[in-house]
Amino acid sequence: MLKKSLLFLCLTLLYSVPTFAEINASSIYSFAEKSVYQILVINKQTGKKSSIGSGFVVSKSNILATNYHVVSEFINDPDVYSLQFQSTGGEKGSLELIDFDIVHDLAVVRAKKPMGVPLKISFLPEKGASLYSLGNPLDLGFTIVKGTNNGILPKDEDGNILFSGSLNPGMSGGPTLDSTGNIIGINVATSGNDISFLVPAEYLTIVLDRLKESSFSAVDDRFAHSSEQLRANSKKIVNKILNKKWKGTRIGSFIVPAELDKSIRCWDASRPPKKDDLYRTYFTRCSNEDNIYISNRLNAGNINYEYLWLETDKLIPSRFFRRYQKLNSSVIGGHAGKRDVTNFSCYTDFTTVATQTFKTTVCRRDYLKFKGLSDMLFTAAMVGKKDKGFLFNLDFTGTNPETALSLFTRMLEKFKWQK
Amino acid sequence: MAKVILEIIQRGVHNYHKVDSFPVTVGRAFDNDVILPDVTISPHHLEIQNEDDKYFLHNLSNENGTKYNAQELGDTPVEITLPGSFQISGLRARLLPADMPVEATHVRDCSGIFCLFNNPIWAFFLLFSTIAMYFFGSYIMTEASEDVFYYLDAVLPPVWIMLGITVVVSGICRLFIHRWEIIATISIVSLMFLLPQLFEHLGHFFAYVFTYDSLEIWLKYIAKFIVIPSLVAVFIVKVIHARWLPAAGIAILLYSPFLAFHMLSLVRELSIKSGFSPIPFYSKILSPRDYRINPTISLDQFSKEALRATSEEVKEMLIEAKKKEQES
Repeated sequence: MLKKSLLFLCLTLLYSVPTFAEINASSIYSFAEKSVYQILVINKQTGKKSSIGSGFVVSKSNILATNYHVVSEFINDPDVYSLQFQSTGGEKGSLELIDFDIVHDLAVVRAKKPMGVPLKISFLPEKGASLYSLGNPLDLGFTIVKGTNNGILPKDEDGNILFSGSLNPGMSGGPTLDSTGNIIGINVATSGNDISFLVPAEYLTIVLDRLKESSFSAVDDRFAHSSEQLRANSKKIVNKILNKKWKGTRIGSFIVPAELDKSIRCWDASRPPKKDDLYRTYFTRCSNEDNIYISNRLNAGNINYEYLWLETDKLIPSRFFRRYQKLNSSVIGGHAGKRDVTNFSCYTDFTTVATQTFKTTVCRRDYLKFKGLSDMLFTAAMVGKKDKGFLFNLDFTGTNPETALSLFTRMLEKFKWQK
Repeated sequence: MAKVILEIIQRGVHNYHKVDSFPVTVGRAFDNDVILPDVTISPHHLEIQNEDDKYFLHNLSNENGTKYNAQELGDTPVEITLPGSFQISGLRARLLPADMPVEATHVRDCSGIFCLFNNPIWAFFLLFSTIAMYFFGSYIMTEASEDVFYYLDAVLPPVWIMLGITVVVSGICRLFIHRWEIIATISIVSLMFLLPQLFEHLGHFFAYVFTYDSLEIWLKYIAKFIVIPSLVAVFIVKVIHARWLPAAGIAILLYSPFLAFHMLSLVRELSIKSGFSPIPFYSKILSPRDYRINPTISLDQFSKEALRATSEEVKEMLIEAKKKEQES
């Protein structure tokens, strides 16, 4: 029995040697090199590259994964752009888009020939474990970057992995491997100073499983596919927020919901008070700090809201209200143009919120290509008090109007007036 | 008694010559009956003849000539019916029967609202109201606590402009009607500066009342496009005693550079609103006096109505955008 056990242990160690023992960067690089490619978006008219990123072979020998944002120009404008790969050895070829997950910034493409050994997907190792990220930064050539796993971002269980390593533009879409050479994440973003982010590989598994079910057939309507994912994501986020018990915070004479969810962060943006101030303001700004990339002009999934309280005992009502009115102006950030969205349609009326009267507005603009997706802007300005004002602004990007409206009304319902 | 009157308008001045005997000669030379000291007039330019009850124009000039009924006259006499207008070179002239009735006297009456404008108390009341309005405007728009000189600094430029315009208009009155008309001028100039501000405040008030911010813009442009030229026309009619139609023409002509400027800003504003804008245009006006037409509704009712109204409008915009895309 002992002999049998020793034999089994030896066999196991021998089998494990190539997988577990080689944990230096050079061995990881030589192991993965043949499965990592540069992904290029080419302008068909000029034949020149418009954007670059990285990708890797996964699931099948002719299937590559990358980031959605690497290939977004092609996805949104396939008549103008085409997709290409370039190997570490300089070999080039065309690619076909087959599926993507816009919410988690993932895309899957197919090559016409086998591209190498598919990398295996694994679970995230413990915090502090070494990770190895591969890609082609700034088109300088393939590199490997060693860093540390710092786990899923605590603000959101759906969030990215915090990778303490130096990712650079061009590495997006490249794989990040654990010490056994398995993929645990996909390079996606960096904030500089070794603060980088990875998409957890489990989301790629979901896309690949979906593709396996459809025998790797390509999506038909890319815009409908994007809209559906973004709407579902928005609904999921809002429902999650609606199901939470919100804590109230005092702003002036109102008790209002502050952090609706752990994904939302609030900051005080009040002006420091001065002795000769003619009026006082209290300003709180909250955001989920999330931006799902759709194109270089469009983002979705962002939720921002702010509360502003004003009061005076020095100004006459006309003078106070001119100042108050000047602050009653809300906009949605971003670079959406007339090729992306409609103009805003707004509706204003007077409502009662927490026993006070508010001039309340809903503005909406729809995305032209992404059916059922809208940017929503809500404002509510308290009226009827000569020396007090209160503004509540809320905006959403890339959402479903009914979903956004339900959060807005629920938030207003939670307002409480306390003198 | 003179048989006819020859009226010649030179540099805006009407000169009347009683004509008793014919022929009468008109020209620049000193041996003419009517001497016209204008270099475009020939030394012997025109002769007016009379035969029985008929009058004839006989052009003698082969330089700038004479025009009657828009026709250049040759060297043969042409009959003119009285009263008749003609042009000697570039000067307008009329041959009038001596018994032709003159226009009714414009009485410098004090009837109607214009009487107020000739009253020094009202004139200075309007002037001080305008200054007070500028002061108030500057006061409510200033965010920090400032001393009185700060507000005066904002008020003085328009006051200087008002005084400058008053001096210029009074000077023009002195030239044309030989009176300064300073009180009426102060009144009208004050109103020209006061009414646009008043319209702006009214626009702000009504925009809140009707929850329709464009009212503020429309009232601002009504003041600029209609009220100010109308005041200029009223002044010309009441003070210079012109008729309404020419007065309106002169008012528009005088105001045209400002009209062009306001037109440009209106077109710019309309183009911003009609084209694509990433900024939402919604009713932002707030008022300390919560007077309004719209009643306060429940949050539920608001949500339903907002969703319905915005959905309908956005649907139309999407159809329009699709149409444009297909056309292109």
